[in-house]
Amino acid sequence: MKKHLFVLALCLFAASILPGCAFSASSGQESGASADAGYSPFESPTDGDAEPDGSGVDLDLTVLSSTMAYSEVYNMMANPQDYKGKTIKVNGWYYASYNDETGESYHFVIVADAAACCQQGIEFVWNGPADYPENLSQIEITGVFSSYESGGYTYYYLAADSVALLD
Amino acid sequence: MTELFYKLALYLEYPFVRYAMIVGVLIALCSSLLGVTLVLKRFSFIGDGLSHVAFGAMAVATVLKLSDNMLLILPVTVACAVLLLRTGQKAKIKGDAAVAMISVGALAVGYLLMNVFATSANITGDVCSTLFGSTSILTLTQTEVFLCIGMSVLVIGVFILMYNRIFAITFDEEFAAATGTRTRLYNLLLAVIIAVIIVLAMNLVGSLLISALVIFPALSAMRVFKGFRPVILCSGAVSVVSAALGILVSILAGTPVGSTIVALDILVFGAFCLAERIIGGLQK
Repeated sequence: MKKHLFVLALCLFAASILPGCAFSASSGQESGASADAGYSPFESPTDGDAEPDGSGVDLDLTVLSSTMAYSEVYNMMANPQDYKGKTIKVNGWYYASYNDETGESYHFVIVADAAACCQQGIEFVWNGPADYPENLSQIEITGVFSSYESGGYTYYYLAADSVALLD
Repeated sequence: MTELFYKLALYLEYPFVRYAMIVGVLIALCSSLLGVTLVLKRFSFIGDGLSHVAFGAMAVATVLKLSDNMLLILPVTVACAVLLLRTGQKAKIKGDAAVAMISVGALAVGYLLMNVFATSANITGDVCSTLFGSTSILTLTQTEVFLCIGMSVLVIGVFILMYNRIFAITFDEEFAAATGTRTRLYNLLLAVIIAVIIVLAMNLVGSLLISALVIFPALSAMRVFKGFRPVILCSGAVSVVSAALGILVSILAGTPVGSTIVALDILVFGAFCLAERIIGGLQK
């Protein structure tokens, strides 16, 4: 019985220290990082070819609750390849930052979880008729999830078709 | 109402929601099984202490940039669990003081390390996510899900196999020792299982709320049932239902997962207290 117990304890311990079940402190996830989710988020009704409203949107995050929207954006950042080329509609806070080294401004839509302590930013590029909105404005973006290379890294962004200010 | 069901059906088609449901229910079941033993052995607060230890270990692992935090978190949590469960009788620093000391010490050192050696731009987010679970349960990978399932099955298997001995050391450890039961060995096994559950449950409710997952279902069941087995079964059912409902409510209402589950556990506890009074009144 003693041997039996030790074997069980050993199994528990060995299983536990294998990779995985680690904490998903998602806010630090970088664009382009690849996780082993191994599933396609487009197995759901958000599947691209048959949009129920005919809007051309593959993934509408605006109809999801904050908890769901944040989780889905986390998955987008963790597995960007699964989302590439899809038209995505998302709302959140607008945030712009300027990089002194490149001399360019970068624009993000920030999606927060329910407690607003975890946030994910999706970079977007807009060549629309109007200027970018003011920082921390609430915006809604529709665009195609795309990628570009810079400094040896792959970055993912939304090529925005429309950017609307929300009240 | 129809819209609610449509929304629920839509959400359930997302793989990460299904993963969260599976893992959440299994973790809730595991924690409730051990919860009864911990409450009866007056170790209710040990889960809280160990979860803070796990937080401290996670901070160290993050600072050391370990590719897999579990390599450090689990051994450290198991070691502390063994220490805490063994210090009950002979230690200079007795049970509750030892738990409090290790608990706040690990929490403080963990937070200090995360700030001093920040590896992420969003420390607040990392800390919030770890302490309150945030959406961790909804961001699990497939590998993590399978490992959680495997570990949960092992924990449940060990509990079923060792049920009689766990029963013996829960109610009268000295008598169990006198009758030849290797109490130290089973306490060690119990410590390992508790540590595994704590580390698993950090994904579900975060390290600050784990105690609720361990004690509320057990205490609820004890309001109505008096036997060990009925309490275990009821505790498991309460915990599983609360976790499943909590996850569904949180994704529908956009509330934090962990605190929603705990709020439901508290509601169930209130309902069971009421049931206890009604049953008591009827029996008089």
